[in-house]
Amino acid sequence: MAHHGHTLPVEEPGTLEQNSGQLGTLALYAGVAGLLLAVIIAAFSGNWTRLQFSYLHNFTFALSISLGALFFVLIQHITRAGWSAVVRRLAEILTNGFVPLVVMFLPILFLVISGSDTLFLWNNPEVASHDPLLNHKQIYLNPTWFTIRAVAYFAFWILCARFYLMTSARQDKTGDIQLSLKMERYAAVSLILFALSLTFASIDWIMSLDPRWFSTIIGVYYFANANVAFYATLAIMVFMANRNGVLTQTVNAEHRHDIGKLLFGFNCFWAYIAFSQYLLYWYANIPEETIWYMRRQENGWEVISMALIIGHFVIPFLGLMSRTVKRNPVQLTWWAVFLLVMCWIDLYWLIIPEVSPETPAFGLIDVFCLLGVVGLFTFGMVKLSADFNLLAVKDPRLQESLAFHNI
Amino acid sequence: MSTDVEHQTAAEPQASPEPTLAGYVAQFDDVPSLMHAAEKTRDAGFKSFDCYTPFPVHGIDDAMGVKPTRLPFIVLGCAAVGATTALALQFLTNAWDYKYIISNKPFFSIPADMPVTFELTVLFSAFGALIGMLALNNLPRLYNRIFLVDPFQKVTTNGFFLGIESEDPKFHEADTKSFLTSLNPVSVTPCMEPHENAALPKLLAPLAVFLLVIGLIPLVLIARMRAMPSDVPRIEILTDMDFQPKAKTQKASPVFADGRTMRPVIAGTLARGDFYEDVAYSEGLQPEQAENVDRSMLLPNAKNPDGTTFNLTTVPWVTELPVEPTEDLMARGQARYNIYCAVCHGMTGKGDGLVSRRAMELQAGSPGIGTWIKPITLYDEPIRNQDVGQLFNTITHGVRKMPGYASQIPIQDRWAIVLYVRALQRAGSATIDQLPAEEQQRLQAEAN
Repeated sequence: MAHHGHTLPVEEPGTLEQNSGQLGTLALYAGVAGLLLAVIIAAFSGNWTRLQFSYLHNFTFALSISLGALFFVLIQHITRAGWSAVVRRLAEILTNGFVPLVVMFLPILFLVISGSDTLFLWNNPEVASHDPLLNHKQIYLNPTWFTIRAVAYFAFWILCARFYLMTSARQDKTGDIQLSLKMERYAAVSLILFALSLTFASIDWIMSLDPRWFSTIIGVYYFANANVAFYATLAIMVFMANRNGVLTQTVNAEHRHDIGKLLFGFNCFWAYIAFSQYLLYWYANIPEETIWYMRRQENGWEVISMALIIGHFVIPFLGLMSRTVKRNPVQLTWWAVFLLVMCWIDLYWLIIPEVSPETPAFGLIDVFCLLGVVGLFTFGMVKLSADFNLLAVKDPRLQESLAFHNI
Repeated sequence: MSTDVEHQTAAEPQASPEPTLAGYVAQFDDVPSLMHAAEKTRDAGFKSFDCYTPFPVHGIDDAMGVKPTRLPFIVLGCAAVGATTALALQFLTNAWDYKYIISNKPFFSIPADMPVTFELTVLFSAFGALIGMLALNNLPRLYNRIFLVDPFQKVTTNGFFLGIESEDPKFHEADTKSFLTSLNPVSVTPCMEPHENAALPKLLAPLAVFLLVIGLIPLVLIARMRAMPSDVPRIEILTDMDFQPKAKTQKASPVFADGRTMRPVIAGTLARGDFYEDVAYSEGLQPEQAENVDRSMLLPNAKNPDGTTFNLTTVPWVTELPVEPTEDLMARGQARYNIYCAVCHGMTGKGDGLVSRRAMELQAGSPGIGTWIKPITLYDEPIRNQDVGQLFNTITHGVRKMPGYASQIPIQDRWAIVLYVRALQRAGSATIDQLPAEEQQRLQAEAN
């Protein structure tokens, strides 16, 4: 920790509430209006099925941001990372999104418990009893066990996220180094639980939409996407904060450079994982595996598939490669927004073909569901973060982070 | 002593040229003063200068005005070359020079090519990064003249140095020295370039090249010998286990009286595991007449002595299954049939299996080149009239173009398949009045 002997000034950026202005209220209005409009459109067009899928799609999208944030927090602690101290609080605030998300999960859970098979075909005992594959999966895919698992995932995520946020916030007042060591100790076991919960959650909520299909890599796939979504969100948050005159003294080109590197790296990781799955299925050519890709290779879905290859990998790979781009606030933010859109489309591509294999058309329901879910997600996140600084002001590694310099 | 001196004098060239000035090296006490000096030197407009420290110093790049390295572009270029090489290589080998169908995938197939492309891209990038880094750092080199500067020994412990080289356009012997002195260094030392000729005789480099070329000649000759046809015996430096004292099939052997390496089966013996007491079970022949059957006639396309095709129906085949036709056996037969037979004969025995259909399609696309013959329908009259023994024999030895499956399908499974083929034949040639009454009614209802 060479700081050339002198301490760098730490700004007091204030809480999210002080800095976000009307964001929380606006998000609440947008969220409620979005969901209401989506329901109204579904009611008039009689398209309840699409509403459920679109809701699930946007739910998993918002969830991926919080999951990516939780992973970021854990990995910074376990590696005792110094550079990230200036942006870690932003990630901790993002993990507050789990609370609104658990509320938003209740309708899905209610549908499953009430025996609806619209989203999850395995919930139809008639179909399941006649299909040997589904029959064998009943032991895992049944409403009771599904509910227990969902409760367990959210319990862990919320407890873990709150623990890290509260402990870090306590440090804002005391500056106690022991708190950092405590968070480091818990990070190891938390990471294991995180890996398990994310994997099984993605199996439950994404893979089991087609209960006959199986992928051993879906957890990693969703994890890769969650990381891209999170780093993109973090880059956007940093940009917004700096534009509003907050964190301007702390987050600089060096930190942006690192966020950009991780965004770039995890985007390549996503491409690697996506291709790994595709290559094996394509090569083995086993019907129960390829049917999932077939659905995404015809009726216009091939356009979305190609758009993902080019938009989610090729273009950002070339675009984000340069050091200049990663250090430039406007350019990095532009790519972050672009990749966030791609993450949304990626989840759309994962989920929507199960309900609309005949056309990939986006609808107003998708737009309003996005507005609704992300609105409520943002509202809950802002409300719960009212008491917390935007910067871990007394983190023992803050000085290291402020003096951080890319080689 | 005197001989030593004499020797030394003789080895050194008589008129040793004076070493030339290669630059000035200034020594500093600590990092801040070196940083300050670096900034001053940068601001004074010097380009060819460097800082030497015992440990990495953060921010020294900025202080020196070092431009970002060009290495990323070298790596990017190498990556592009790697990707192109991999794709071109796979195109040339798989899709151009040696077209080979693998799992009916396209000859040039991006998903299949991707792993190799990825690996070569990474490999070339790594080479680019390593070699590019070495090249940009002027490595490897035999010596560095800065090591000849006396105080420079301290650079690994507590010496901080800044050296300005004479290649710099702004370098001037007196001015640069006074500039460095103005930075308050501990010392300013001239760095001398020992004259090239002092160390190496002029002839050494051409000689080395000459020897290198000469040394390559044997290798070239060996490579040529290995690749060209020749009427003189081959030179064998390493035999690579080409020749081993072992008996090869189809080769003459001096060991045995008949001169054959492969030993014929001794009359009246059987290989281990080949003996079945029940010929009805193991060959599908009637036990009491099996002795008279010439087994060589049971092979595909066997000819009578007069040249006509041997009529297999004249063989005394068993007419009843030598195994008990249970439901389990039927299920087993269906599974085996679907694995081994259905790809050509079709799931229903109509001769429309996937392989057959694909082959017919390919032939239809390029008439005159294919030799595929559509498999017969299993419930044609002649096949239906065959005894079960003959069906079993067909699976065992094959018939016409169909190869024998004896080595792949155990005897019990062959009988299971025969049983299932019988079921297919019954189903395929059934008439409506053979169906149960309720099925007849259902069909009637559907027809109406």
